[in-house]
Amino acid sequence: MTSFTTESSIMDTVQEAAPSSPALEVSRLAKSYGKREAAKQVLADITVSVARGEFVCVVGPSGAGKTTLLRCLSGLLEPTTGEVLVNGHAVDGPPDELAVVFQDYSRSLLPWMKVAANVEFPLLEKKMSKAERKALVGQMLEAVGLTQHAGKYPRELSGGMQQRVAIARALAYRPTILLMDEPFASLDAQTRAELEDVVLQLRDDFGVTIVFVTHDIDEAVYLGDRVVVLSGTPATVSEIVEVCFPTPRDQVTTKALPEFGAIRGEVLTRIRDAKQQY
Amino acid sequence: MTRRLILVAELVALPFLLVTVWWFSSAGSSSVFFPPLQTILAALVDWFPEGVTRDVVPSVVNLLAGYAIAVTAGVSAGMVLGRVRALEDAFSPIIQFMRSIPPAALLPFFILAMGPTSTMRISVIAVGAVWPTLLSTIDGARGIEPALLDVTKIYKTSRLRRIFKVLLPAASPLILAGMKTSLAFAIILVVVSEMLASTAGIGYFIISSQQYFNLPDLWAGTIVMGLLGYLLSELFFFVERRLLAWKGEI
Repeated sequence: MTSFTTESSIMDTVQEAAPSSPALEVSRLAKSYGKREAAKQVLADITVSVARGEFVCVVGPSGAGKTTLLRCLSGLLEPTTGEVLVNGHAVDGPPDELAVVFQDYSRSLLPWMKVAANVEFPLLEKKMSKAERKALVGQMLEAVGLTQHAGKYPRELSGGMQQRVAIARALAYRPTILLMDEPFASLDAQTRAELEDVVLQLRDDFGVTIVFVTHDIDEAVYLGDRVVVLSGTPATVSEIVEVCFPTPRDQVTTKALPEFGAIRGEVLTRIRDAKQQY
Repeated sequence: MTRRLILVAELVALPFLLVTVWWFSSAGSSSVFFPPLQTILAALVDWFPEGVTRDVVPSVVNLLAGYAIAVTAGVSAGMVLGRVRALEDAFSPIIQFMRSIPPAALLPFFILAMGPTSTMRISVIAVGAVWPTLLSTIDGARGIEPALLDVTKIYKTSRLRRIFKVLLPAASPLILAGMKTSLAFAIILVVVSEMLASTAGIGYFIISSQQYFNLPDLWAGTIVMGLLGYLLSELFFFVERRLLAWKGEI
């Protein structure tokens, strides 16, 4: 795919701010909902560090607090205690260099805007000329394979295509960190496999750091450089599993590797153990 | 092209038929109350064109001015109340009470307080027609998808853009539904307000024809009012269809 000159300049300035820090650092993060006696603790003592360019998957049983963690990372939620650092800076509201792909594409796209306008939407806040915006939108739509659908409304697209729009929109914002919250949970298996490969390709093309929340262990192991296993009530990091398959990954050959089964088994065991403890 | 012609034919056929039936069945009528259609149309022709400037223009100006105020106030207040829970809770009982007052019941007070002026009529229309838009906008604003608000936070959407590109479009189907009812209220109120303490307007034309027992004029005025209401609601429907084209179902 094509490389982008604007991209490198934007990313350089961000990285110069704190050259040695990891992309994302979570230290002793805890989150409770409610007040005092009624408080329900969802996350406890989460400490994780994500290197620049790394692809980290977060798995855990449903209701484990994965989405809560992601919302804390994105600055949409304030942690009760602990801290999140993005490129070395404490998160206090959504950081500029971060974008999110939400779980429910049908709700997070603006249904009254056509595909191109949806992708352009976050760019309206940036100091860019109209021509620059149009060019960037065109490149992003090409990157996710939707050039032909630029003039359609989201409702005219399939679920998989709508989520591609959401991914293009997130990447058009030129983030260094992309958070994805169970982005493919409501898609059929084949579309999901396609989009997993789209995300891997985009990670290579844009050098973006990705934190990917999913409840699907296969998906986590296939995509991630590391898999963070979240479990318990309140949820803690019960294990961080290194995934060391060769790249590029392939839906057939990678999943046929003996290591794939081994790592998958390890993650699954961790989740099951954690469930039995509580 | 031919399909279009058929569509137009279908649209025109029934009204044409009804008018024809009316024309012939009333032709020899000696009833004072139901004069022949021919007489009514003659009255209409007589009234035209100075009737347009004398009666239609003030009616339309008052109607549109009052409606514009009602819609602007209803949408702005509705968006704020719908987004701020505490405010809605505080204002809800008052709003429910105010909207239960039939707007025509306000007229006597307004006539006393403001005199027989255009300002009085515009005020009555504004105060009487605001409620459907206000209530419907509150519902629309309250029901805005939270995921969209997350999107505006993540991408740091400016306040104005958030209001005009996200919040208002998201609430627009309900806002427009409320505006449609408000328009019907406004049309009723403009006629009623002109029937009291007035010297011009379609409502005045109708009521003075009644007082002079001039039935053909009375019917002519009624037809003009009907046509005006029909035109306005068609215009509304046209605009609504454009604004909600993204929904793809109307």
